[in-house]
Amino acid sequence: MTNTSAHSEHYDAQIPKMGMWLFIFTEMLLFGGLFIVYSIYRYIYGDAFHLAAQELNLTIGTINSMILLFSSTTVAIAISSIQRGNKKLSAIFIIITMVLGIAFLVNKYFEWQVKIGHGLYPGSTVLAGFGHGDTLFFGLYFAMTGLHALHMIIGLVIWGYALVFIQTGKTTQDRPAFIENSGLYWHLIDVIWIFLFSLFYLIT
Amino acid sequence: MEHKKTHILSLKAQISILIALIVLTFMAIGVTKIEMGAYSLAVILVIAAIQAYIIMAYHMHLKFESPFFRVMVILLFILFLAVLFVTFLDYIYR
Amino acid sequence: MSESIHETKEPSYLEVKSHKGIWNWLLTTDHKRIGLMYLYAMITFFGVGVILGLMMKLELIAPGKTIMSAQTYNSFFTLHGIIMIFLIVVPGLPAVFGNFFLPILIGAKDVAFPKLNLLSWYVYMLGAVVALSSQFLSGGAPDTGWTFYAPYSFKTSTNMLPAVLGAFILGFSSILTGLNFIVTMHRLRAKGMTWMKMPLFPWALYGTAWIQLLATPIVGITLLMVVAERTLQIGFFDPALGGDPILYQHLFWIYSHPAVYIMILPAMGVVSEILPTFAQKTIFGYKAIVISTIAIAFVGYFVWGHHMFTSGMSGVALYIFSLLTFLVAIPSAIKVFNWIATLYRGSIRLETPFYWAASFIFVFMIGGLSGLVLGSLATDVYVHDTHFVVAHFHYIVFGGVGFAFIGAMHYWFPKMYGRMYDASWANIGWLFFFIGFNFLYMPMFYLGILGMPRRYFDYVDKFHNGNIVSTIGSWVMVFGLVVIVANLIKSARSGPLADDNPWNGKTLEWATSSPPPLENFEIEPVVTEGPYEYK
Ligand SMILES: [Cu+2]
Repeated sequence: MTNTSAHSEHYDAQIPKMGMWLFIFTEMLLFGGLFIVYSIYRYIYGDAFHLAAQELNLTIGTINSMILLFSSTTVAIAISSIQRGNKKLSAIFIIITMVLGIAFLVNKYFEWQVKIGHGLYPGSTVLAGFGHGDTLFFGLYFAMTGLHALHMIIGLVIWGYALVFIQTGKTTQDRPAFIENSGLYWHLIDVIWIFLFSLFYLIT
Repeated sequence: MEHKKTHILSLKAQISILIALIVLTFMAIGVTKIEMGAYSLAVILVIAAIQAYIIMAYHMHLKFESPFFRVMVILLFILFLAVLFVTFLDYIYR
Repeated sequence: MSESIHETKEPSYLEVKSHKGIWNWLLTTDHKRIGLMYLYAMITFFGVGVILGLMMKLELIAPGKTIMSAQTYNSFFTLHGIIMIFLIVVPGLPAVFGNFFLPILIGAKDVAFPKLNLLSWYVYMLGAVVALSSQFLSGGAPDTGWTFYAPYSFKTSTNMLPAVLGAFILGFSSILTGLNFIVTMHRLRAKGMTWMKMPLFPWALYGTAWIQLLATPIVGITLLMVVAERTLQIGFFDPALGGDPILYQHLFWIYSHPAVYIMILPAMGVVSEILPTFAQKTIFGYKAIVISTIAIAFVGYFVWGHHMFTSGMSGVALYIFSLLTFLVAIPSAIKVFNWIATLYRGSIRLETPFYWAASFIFVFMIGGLSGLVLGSLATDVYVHDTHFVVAHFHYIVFGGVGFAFIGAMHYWFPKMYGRMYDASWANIGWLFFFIGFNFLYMPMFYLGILGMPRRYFDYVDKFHNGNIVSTIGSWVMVFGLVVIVANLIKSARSGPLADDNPWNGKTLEWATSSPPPLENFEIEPVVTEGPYEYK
């Protein structure tokens, strides 16, 4: 059933892209598991979730949303720059993205600190006094925003590598896969945040 | 050697995407100020879904990729919603 | 086409040495070597799992304490489950034979991401080490069973964290393998190999890979939640804090039922490769098998609740899960009919791989039909958590995957090592294994119906006879296993050299030399017809 054909070696840009998308699917479902848990407990403890959500600071949440939306745009510009062959501009916009990412995390850190200062953290007696709904709301809040923040940190490390790869010429106009894939990862983090923001901060 | 048509969005397009996303965020915040009961959750989720669609379609380039990616993303969401639905069959009727 | 090839023969993948000594293995990105590394690791773990199983059977040979305490027995069945499920049957066929043969079967030089493939192996080993370390750390071996049910999994004082984290890491390895395979099949098929010309083992791996990709993350996050529960007391599954332990069961089985299809689909794929070759006949209903593979993968995602019929789920959910479970039996049955129809009027060659494939159908049917007993609500309530369940899933998981695995070993052995094994010893091993297997597990159906619960080290006198038969069966089976393994190890070193195509197979692996060269084919294959075109 076989015939012969000549050797042909060529770069298939679809391979890294498809690999990254499949990885993104697994990430979506990783968070998906938490969203299932969230939905169930919001269904069971709807009223308590509403009250507990008022403890969250909508202003800080909104600022963080803006930061991430901006960073998604800077990422997009970094990618289109490298695709046009402008390595320097691409590097600059990656650095801006990283600064925005760090700003998000700093913001998040202070937000968490205030919550913990008020005794609103898993295992605290204050929280246990509020009842089951509040306990689960803040448990989920810390678990989901924590996992999200962990992804941001990983994303920052990846951007660090991207800068190195631009410097060393491993990522170029012809082989932009690394930056494109890092961008996909960063946008995914953004998409997840949009849902986290809607489900934690926007309950009245 | 294959079709070398990496679609690159213009800066103008990227700025308008950003503006759209910001406007939608404030719309969602505005919705929380209006008393709509159970509907406000639905509206907020629809707005979030639109934002997610914009990011995935343009920033994540799904609009310009081969149909395989689009179909799989849609199937993924259907899968997730179906799993959620089946799980809820337990909790709603318990 | 083969006359000229032998004169300018490229060195086989085993002869290519790019590093020094052991590094040829540990740093290789060759999918074939990586497949063998998985094989050797798994055989080692399997040995441990078998010994644990043997000791449990020995404990059960008589009522009362025989050789171990209740707590030891609890940790033994936990470790036996963790090893067999997470280290062997879930990764087993894809990691070993998928790695070795998937690229060859589709005419590719390697998988899409060779380095990631090696990384998957290291992640697998890391997960194994972490999971097994739970046995040796102070605090005591885990005693929850492999399912880690909440709330006990975060209440027990035993070493749950390493066990749970180990399972999480192993899941990550499984995801990476699945990802690699999907991209490989999408992008690296040989010229002319359309989807509908792809052999059935790759098809099975394709369905499997999607489940690996889409179900494993759910259990991953669930296990992380158990970790968070133990360390931070979040209360996800803790009724004292408002959580729902049944939700843990939902999330766990959302993965772990599809995981059964991660196990069995590749096994079905192997059988679909072996049977046409030894019947020298085109597979009956190629399309039906492909469609049923995908259907099993998809419907199998929505039947998880049949593990929870007695957990206190709502009535509506019970009916739906039971219905869906019956639905998923249909595509499985389609496959069985296709295999039988493939044999009908074929010119059957009674070789060792054929024995394994045929006995696979036998044990798979027993396992599948007993699954229907468990899938229907009324009967499940009666036999739930009895030895009936133990018998059922050993018929599927060990009977299904184990028989297919050993069958694949005997089918592809000449290709992997370039040497042939001693057929008569292989057949003797099969005979003892098959007889011992049925003596080991068949009585458990009977014991379960009598009411003997699972996971107890002790039982009342009326279960004694069945347990004696079962324990003796375990000895017969393990004797067969020792014969098989000894025969294969000896043959890998000193068996007679094998032909390139000893079974007259039609798929691409038989078109290259035994063992294959580093890049699988000296000349890139071009496919012109379907995979099983016997004239
Ligand atoms: Cu199941």
